[in-house]
Amino acid sequence: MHLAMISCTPRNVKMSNTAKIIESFKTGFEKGGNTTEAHYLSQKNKWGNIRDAFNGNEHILFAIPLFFECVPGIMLEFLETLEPKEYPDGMAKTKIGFILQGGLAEASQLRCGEQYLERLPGYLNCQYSGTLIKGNMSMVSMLGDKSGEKLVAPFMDMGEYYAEHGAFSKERVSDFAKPEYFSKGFILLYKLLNPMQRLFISLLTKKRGRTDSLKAKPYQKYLV
Amino acid sequence: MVVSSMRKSIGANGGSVLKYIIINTLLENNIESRGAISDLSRSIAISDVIYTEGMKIHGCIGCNGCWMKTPGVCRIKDDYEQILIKILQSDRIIFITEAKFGFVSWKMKNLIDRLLPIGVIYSEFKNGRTRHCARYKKCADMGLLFTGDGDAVYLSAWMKQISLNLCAKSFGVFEISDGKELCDAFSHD
Ligand SMILES: Cc1cc2nc3c(=O)[nH]c(=O)nc-3n(C[C@H](O)[C@H](O)[C@H](O)COP(=O)(O)O)c2cc1C
Repeated sequence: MHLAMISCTPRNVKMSNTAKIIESFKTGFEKGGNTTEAHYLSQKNKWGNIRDAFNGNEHILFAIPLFFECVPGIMLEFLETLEPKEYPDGMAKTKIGFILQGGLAEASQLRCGEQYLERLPGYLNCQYSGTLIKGNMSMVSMLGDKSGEKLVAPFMDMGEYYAEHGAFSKERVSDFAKPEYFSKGFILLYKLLNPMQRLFISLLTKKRGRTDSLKAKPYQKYLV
Repeated sequence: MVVSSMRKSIGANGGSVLKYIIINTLLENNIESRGAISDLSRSIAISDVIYTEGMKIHGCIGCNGCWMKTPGVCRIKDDYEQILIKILQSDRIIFITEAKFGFVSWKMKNLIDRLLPIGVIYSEFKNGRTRHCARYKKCADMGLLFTGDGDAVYLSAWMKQISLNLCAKSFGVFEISDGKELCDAFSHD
């Protein structure tokens, strides 16, 4: 199977978590001799080629960062340039699968976005092949190569799985993305450890040239 | 940049009046939008209508600078900053947009994505889920009117989630011809 993968983040490829997830997924997907091509919507000058990839392929995977509970504006802008697909007699409908990843950790964070994606292929006259959701991905690029790679490594297995089944099953995805919600015990632990997590973020961002307090209110002066 | 420093205006009886603004991605001469705004104006005092068409507004580039580098300030220098300030100064926002694929248009989603600086990187538990903390004391509550190919049920669920994330309240999503329902939702609050 040949899979055209389209990254839907506006972030440049070098810094993008989605790009790293695509790399890991691709390694698993290509194991049995399958092939892939990757495209990046952040490269706006290549949208013509990406449209051709969408129109010319039977298997498409959109890889998306969650932005405000759904897909980023740049993805919608691209979608609005597409026409619903038409098929000559006897040709199977194009299959579209999705990877949707976000910063907050629980699977429940991604369900609203997933719901949108379930219906999207229908608008493009394509068939839905499931959505692989996963939280806790915002630090992938920040953590550097080694720790970042560890975070995205599980996507390799899911690449292999997708190549084998041609779709993501709900059960497998829920298992991959768990927990759906954190347990009461975890929430308590989280509250206890929160000051340490905040200190870590504060030190990390300071080291990287942060110019003000993380909780700064630069527009407070307008809010008398 | 022209922005007043007042958050609430003073009503005739001396009490504070809720400040409503409209953020509209439709053209100023769009008939449906003009009808909706005139209907809304009968029930609520709208202090500002922002037409985004013709303004220079870039999409979020996902750099996280507004959280990690220059907290609260977006590194993209375009016309969005004045909208952000007006959002912060208001009590209630009415978004008006065209809908596509059951959802809001990319122009409206870009405006929403650029709200990131009003949250902070730190998170906390709220309503059983982790959510990022608010940067300012309050974010305006919101409602949305759409024309075209929108799925009101899905859009309402989505708006409820983003409002929760922003520590605000959603008054719902309605077709543009049903602006009165949004006014009713406001008045029942
Ligand atoms: C504008 C914006 C909105 C975001 N909204 C959410 C959200 O609603 N929920 C969430 O879990 N993560 C959210 N995130 C975090 C991203 O989904 C996460 O960092 C992702 O890994 C970014 O991938 P990228 O580096 O390829 O852009 C948001 C990030 C940005 C920039």
